[in-house]
Amino acid sequence: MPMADTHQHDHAPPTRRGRGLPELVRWWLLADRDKARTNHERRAIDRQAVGQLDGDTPSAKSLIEAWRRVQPIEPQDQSVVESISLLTRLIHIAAIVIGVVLGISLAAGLFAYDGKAPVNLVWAIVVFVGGGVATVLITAVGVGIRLLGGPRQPTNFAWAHWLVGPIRLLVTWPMSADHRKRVLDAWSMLIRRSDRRLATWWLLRVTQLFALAVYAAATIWFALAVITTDLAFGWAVTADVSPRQVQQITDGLSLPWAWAWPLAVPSEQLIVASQVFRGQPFDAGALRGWWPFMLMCMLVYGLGPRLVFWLASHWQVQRRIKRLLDHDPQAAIICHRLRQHRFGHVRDGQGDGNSPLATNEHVARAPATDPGSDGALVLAWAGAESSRDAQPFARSAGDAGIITVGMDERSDDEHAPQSLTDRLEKAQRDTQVVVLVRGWDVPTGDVLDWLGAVRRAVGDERTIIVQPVVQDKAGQLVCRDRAMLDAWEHRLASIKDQRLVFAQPMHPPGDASEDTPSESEGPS
Amino acid sequence: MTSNDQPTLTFAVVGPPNRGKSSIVSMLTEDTTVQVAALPGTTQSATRFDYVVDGTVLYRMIDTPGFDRARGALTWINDHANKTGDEGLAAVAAFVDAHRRDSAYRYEVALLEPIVAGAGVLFVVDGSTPAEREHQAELSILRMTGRPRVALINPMGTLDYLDAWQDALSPYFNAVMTLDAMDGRFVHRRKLFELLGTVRQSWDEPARQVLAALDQERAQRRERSAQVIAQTLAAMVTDSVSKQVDADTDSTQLHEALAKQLMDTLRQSERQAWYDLAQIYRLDEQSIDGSDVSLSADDALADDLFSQRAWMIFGLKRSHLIAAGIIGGAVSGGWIDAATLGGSFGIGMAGGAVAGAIAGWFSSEGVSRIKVRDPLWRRLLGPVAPGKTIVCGPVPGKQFAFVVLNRLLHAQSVIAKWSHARRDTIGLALDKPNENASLTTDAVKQLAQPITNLRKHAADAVRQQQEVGTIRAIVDEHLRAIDQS
Repeated sequence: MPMADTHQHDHAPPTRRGRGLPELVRWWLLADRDKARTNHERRAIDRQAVGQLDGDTPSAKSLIEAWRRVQPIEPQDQSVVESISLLTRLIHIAAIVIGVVLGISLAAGLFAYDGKAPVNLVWAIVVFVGGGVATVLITAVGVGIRLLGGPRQPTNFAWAHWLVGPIRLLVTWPMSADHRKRVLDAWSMLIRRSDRRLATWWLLRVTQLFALAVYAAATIWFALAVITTDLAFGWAVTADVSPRQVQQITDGLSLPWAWAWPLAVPSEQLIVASQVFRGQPFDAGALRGWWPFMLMCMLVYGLGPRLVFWLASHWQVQRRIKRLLDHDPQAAIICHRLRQHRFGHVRDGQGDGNSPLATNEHVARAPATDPGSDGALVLAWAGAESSRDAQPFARSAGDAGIITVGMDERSDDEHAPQSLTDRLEKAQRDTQVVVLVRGWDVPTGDVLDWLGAVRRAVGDERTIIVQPVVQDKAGQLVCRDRAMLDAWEHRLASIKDQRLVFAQPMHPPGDASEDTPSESEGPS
Repeated sequence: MTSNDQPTLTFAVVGPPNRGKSSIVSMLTEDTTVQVAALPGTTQSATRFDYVVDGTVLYRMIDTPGFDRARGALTWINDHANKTGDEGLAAVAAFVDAHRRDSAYRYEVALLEPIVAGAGVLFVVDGSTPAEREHQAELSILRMTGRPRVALINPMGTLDYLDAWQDALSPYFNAVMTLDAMDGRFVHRRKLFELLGTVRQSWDEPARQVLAALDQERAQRRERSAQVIAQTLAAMVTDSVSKQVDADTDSTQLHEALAKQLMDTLRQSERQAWYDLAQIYRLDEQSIDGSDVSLSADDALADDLFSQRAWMIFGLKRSHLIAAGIIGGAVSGGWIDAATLGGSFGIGMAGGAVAGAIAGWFSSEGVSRIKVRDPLWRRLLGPVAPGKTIVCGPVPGKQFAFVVLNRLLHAQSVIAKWSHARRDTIGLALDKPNENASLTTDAVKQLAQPITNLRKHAADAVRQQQEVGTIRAIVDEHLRAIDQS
């Protein structure tokens, strides 16, 4: 939706570099600017955007793209986005650098060989196999707990937070005070607005990048040591462990590659010959044969899982960011607004009275849309469909028309959500869900319960726009008091559904000033 | 009946939220303590308000929160009825019992509880919003209770959708009527109780009693208002202040100080009369606060009693003054005819009438210039000698008396129809200056002589009482005529 492949940079373009955190920040900054604008300014931009649209039934994506193309870019915002981009890149670089240093240190220490005693494989296996498996298990459990709704910061991520802080400070150090404040504000916004899953996957990606660097560096160091020096391996334990038992262990560890590379499975003779005791001489030449096994252990139990985790977390981060952008409530509001312009809901004149709607002439010219491709799914609660405000929505709902609800006596008569579910299955992912309500009615528990049913029907990530109508069927203004609209906002906010947004009428009652920002961003 | 016993006429005032239920309760019970606000959700629980006259509870209104989950409640009631066979009121009572501790249905429990306990239903809707079928669940629940039900369409500004509401509500209610909570006129309450008397046979007699009590209360209020107005008028047209001059006193300054003191006293008397009138109609003193800031710039009474605008608005019209002058002149000239035993052939009366008419003509031009000061002749004599007493007042002229009287009548007319549901300061603005509650020409003619006599016999307490009684009777008749109109 708010993403696009290529655009000129003078109009807040979505970048081709992917749906990274900077892109998310860029969108949120734009959305905030939009919220802060006056109705007058918003209408001017919306009109420009609508003017760039081609075709009768623009998709939500093309609506947002058109809107972004006409956005004036604020230099401060651009600079903040660049800084956030730099910041995230530096965090990744730091994770890699520290991981490489640690990996080389570990490998150099564990595989140090001066000819006096062979390298003790027990230590290497404990660190690179045992440590690898253990951290993989801990990470999997930690991520699972977090994704299932457990504590926000499992212990295995605490160190990552500790890591991010100093890096952030280091990166922002050379900035001017103002710029540092803006970048830190944007960073806070990123943390605050990102959902739990994005934070989890992003942290996992950073930690797995670090772990990947550790294992990659250690493995490479080991491979280089094998190639460039002579190494002798042995195993030594105090406990009474027989070579047979050791072979059982090595055979078990070798199972993943035994079929492919038999040489990397230690033989019985090698195991017997490799048992060493301090002070006793050993045959270095006979003890070289362990390196393929060790190399495969490091690849399979260390590097492999980390690579898988990193790829998975990277994919999930991209997916979460795409979802946040695609299902952003402000994007839905902007689409909703542009459609109102597009379909003639809003008159072109400025300061044009109280009616949010066009005359019948405008409505008649509005193209009917196919709800299966682009048109909104429009539901009307308790007779809102009879308002004149609802007529254009009926057109944008296409042949299926407005689904009327709230007129039956029983609350369990929920054919409407079921019908909605059926229609959603046929609709595109960006089909808007608009609920018309009568602005002059007090929002009751009944309507909130029903909105809950709609939410269950449409899923958690789709934005539901609650659009109040303010006129009766003859076009006479009925909702004369802004307090009623405020009551709606207040009560909807009590649901704590961030994707349930309340769209103000374009000319809310009692809002005499054109310069008063009145678009609601919904409950937060 | 004590306040603990439930009177026969007990009503739960129910309906959708923010449709003026509390305002209706406040208006009907004349209780300004009912919580009324423009914001929805002000009423969170059921509260009873009694209308008490002479210690007897005539009727009880129970203010309730609006329906919040009517559809959910109806679903539960229907399901319960299907399972248990309970129907109607029993099913509703079961719902109330089952959800006493359920916060989701706290409003439904609060509003249905008194109905289950036996209260009648007054269902309030807003006539300024379109009627739709969205209240089906509420109406069905109320119908299930089997209690007598009356729908009240509260205009809340306009009545654009009156017909639609009447059509929508008629199938569910025994009667439908329009009742503006912001219009406190007595006639509306009377109409409601006349209607309630026809809804249920057992309500007929209690409703008659209420109507009789209301009529009596209304007459008593009118009489008490007339008494307050007459007494205040008598006091204000005869009030004077005095002070003894001592050696250090500048008599000119003393004149001004006394004039100011007299005007303040008169203003205070007038405000006290407003308070008394408000009290008679069970309005808070705060509603008509004595401080000037409580009166808006548009209020006629916000202008000072002695301001030119007040005299323009409330003073007698030229025709009234001429009529009063003719009567006064004729009475005075009549003494000449009487002294000559008719030898003057009525010339005295005729001449007096002409002179009075001329005086009336010219006095209408100069009413606003009247000030409370010593007479010119006294000031021309120079400084008053120490030891002498300076007397300031009473304020001369008929015009002042009629300004006072008209202002009091105007205040009374506004207060009498002021709804107790209103939470703003009582607006004392005139819709049409000097035409709202002002005196008729006949009344002016009748009052001219008693007012003259009040001044003439200021020292005679018995005569004063007689004149006050005469004025009270004329004012009472005037108020009765307004009431009936």
